[in-house]
Amino acid sequence: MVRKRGEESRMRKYGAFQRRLAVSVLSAALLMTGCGASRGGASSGSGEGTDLNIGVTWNAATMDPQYCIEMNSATYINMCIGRLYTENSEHQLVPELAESVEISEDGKTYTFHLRPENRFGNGEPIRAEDFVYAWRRAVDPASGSQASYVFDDLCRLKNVDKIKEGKMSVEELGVSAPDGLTLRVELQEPCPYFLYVVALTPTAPMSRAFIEALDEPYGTSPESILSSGPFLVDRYDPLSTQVHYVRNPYYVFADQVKIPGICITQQKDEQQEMMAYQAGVLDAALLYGEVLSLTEGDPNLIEYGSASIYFMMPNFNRVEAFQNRNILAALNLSVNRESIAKNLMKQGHRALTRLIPDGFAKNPDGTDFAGEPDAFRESCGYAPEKALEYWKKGLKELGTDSLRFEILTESGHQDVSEVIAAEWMKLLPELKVDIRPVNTQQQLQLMGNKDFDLCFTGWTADYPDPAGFLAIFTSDAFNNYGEYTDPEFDRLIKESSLELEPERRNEMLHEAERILVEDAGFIPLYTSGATWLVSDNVSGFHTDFTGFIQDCRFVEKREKAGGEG
Amino acid sequence: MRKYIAKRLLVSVATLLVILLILFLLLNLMPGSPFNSPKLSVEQKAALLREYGLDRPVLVRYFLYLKNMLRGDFGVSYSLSPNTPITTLLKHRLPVSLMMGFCSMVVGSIAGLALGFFAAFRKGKAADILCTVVSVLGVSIPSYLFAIALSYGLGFRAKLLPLIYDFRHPVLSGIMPVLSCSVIVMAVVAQFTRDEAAAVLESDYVEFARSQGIGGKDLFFGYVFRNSMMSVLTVITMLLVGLLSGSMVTEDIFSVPGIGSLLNDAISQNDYNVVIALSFIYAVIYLLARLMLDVLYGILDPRVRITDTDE
Repeated sequence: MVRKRGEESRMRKYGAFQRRLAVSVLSAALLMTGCGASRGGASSGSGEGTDLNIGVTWNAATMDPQYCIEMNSATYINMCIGRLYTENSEHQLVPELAESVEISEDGKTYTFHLRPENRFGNGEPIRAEDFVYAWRRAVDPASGSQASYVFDDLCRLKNVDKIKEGKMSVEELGVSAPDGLTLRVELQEPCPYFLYVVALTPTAPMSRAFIEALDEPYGTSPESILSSGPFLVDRYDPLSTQVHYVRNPYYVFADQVKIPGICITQQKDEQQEMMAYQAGVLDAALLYGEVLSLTEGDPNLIEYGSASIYFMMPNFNRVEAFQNRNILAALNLSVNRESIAKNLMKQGHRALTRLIPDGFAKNPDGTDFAGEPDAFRESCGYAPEKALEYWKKGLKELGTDSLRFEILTESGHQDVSEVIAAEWMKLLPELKVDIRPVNTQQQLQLMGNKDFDLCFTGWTADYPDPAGFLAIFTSDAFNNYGEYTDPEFDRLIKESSLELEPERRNEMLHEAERILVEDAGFIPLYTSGATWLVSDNVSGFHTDFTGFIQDCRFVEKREKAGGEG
Repeated sequence: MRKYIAKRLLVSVATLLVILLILFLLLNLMPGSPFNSPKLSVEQKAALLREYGLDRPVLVRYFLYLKNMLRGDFGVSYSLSPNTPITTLLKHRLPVSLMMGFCSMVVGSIAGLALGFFAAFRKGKAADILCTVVSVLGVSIPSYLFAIALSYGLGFRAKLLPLIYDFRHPVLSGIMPVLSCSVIVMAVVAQFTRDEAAAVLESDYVEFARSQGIGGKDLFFGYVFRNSMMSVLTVITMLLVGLLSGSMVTEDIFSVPGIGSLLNDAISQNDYNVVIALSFIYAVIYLLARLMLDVLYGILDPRVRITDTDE
């Protein structure tokens, strides 16, 4: 899934002065009233009853799971869908609508056994045919769904490429229902993380009868949304700033759902969101921007996930100097990542000195894949003196005494590029760096056309496996815009995707990451998750590995003690 | 007057067609496409452009759009809310912004007129200076800060009003956004009213009326109010156009489900149909407001009616 870029920068649209002024006013006001203690007793907003009130900065582009391609919509959809597998609060996969799964020895066939008690929100039973219909719906070229990548790029379902090219009927897709409670999935090649794929939003079941009976597009009103998860959509209209859900009595684990409903409000203004949280109107608020400085030390502040990374992508075939290892080493070693993460990006961001962020994926023995924080200090640490040495050596090898290139950046992240460019120009003599700020569309177009020197970009992994990041740097990956190529890296990624023995696969992935980082196939900068303020009368609130909210089925909300404090 | 209105309506329709054409041409020049997900391959992007007919020449798309528009079909959203008909998208949001804008205009205008006339009758005195200070503050304080201040006072501290939009209490939820938007209206209207009314009060015909012993209500409604309103109405109409098209900042702060930030989002995501539909609506609002202004001129100023009859 794609985390919408510019999400963090959305908050920057107001003038910097106004923002600072507002933050100052708000800080002073909250301090005067003892901000932390003033929650409770909210009489306004949607904070009545025991609904869980959540504030986020975005709304849902779609409520149709088979058209969902970004985390923002998934946040809203996940409240009302069930999936074969889902993540628990420890980010472990647990069966949801599936009861069990059998995996063939070659790792290419998955047979899911469904729970007989599964029901849609309208009371109709959920059967294997509903998964078959849903998956075909997402892949069918006639549907125009962009979510087909889940069944193609992420897991290579049998025949998916031919179907997408229009050379084969969608009925030939590698998913079938031998009987109502058995779902058989055939893959073209093994996919070691396939159970994470079936936990993604577009894999949710869908009833053909429901869709065909609709006289309006799916997901344009509460009546046109079919739930298969813990909650039913009670109030919604497209791009609504507020979506309200009520408990789904037909959900297979309805007895686990403790709250009567959820209200998600899109709150684009960070100060107002903070104030709404402090007033008790919101029980959980996802925070960005400068208000985070007001929350330092708050015990209710929780940082979740680390599935987004931000980095510079060199265009190897356009800038000759980027083929020189010393030049790239100099650029890598003269970025003060700690300072950028701490002072510029602030809370919720951490310096990234490798590709796989810490806490993102696990080794087969359960330890963190990125458990050694200094593993790549030699390549990506902050060492200005060493950088200068490499720089001089690199220029000499190139036979030039100066270098000039341009950083392509989305305008919302221009400040990051400016800071890095300033640092480079200060530390590396005779270097001139220009900044080219563009909007997201322009950036993607320019990147697709390979029309850039160095590009500031980001990536959010779809599944908590190192391959989710590594795969974008293979020679044939369409989003390898910088055209990084290393045959050994390609071989390792290819073989790791076919390797069924977890230890061997893990070693390959570690080796691939080492090659990429030491080759300076990219310049890592920082990683981010999501920073939430969650009221202390709420328990069971957890997010998925990306830091976005899960389905809230384990959430409990106790009534607050009356009065202040 | 009827002939004049009919002529203006015809010109308005022609203007709208030209505006639409310019929009199509400009959007065609915009870089990128609505299908910007980095997880889409080049082939998938090309297929989507084909699917939505965006690979056709701009003029073909223009005439197709016009044909569909006459049937009430404004197309579907490409990226903001994929495949959602624009009419569905605007059905819930447009009335909210229109209602909020209208209420802000009414509240701001009444407050502004009262303040302006009050100051004009006390020109040079403390009340006049106070009015000027209030107007300057109203114009110079960004509505963003005013909204935050209101939220803090009435929402956070007094807990009188919802801090953010609550679908269960839409009217209560609308009070703070309306107040935030009406401040600028009040400030501008007060200043214009004060200047106009002060000039009218110094005019020969008011002096003459006073010398005839006319005063109080008769002087105000018969001479001052009517003659001051001509230019004030122009200002109110222009402010109304801005208010009806939704306030991005205010709607964002209070999570109001209006159209304020929709155009901005649509432009940044290249959602052409949403951009065109919203721009078209704004143009219609503007043209209708101008028409309304002309009719009001006729009602307020007999000279306009006489000129029209002469034609």
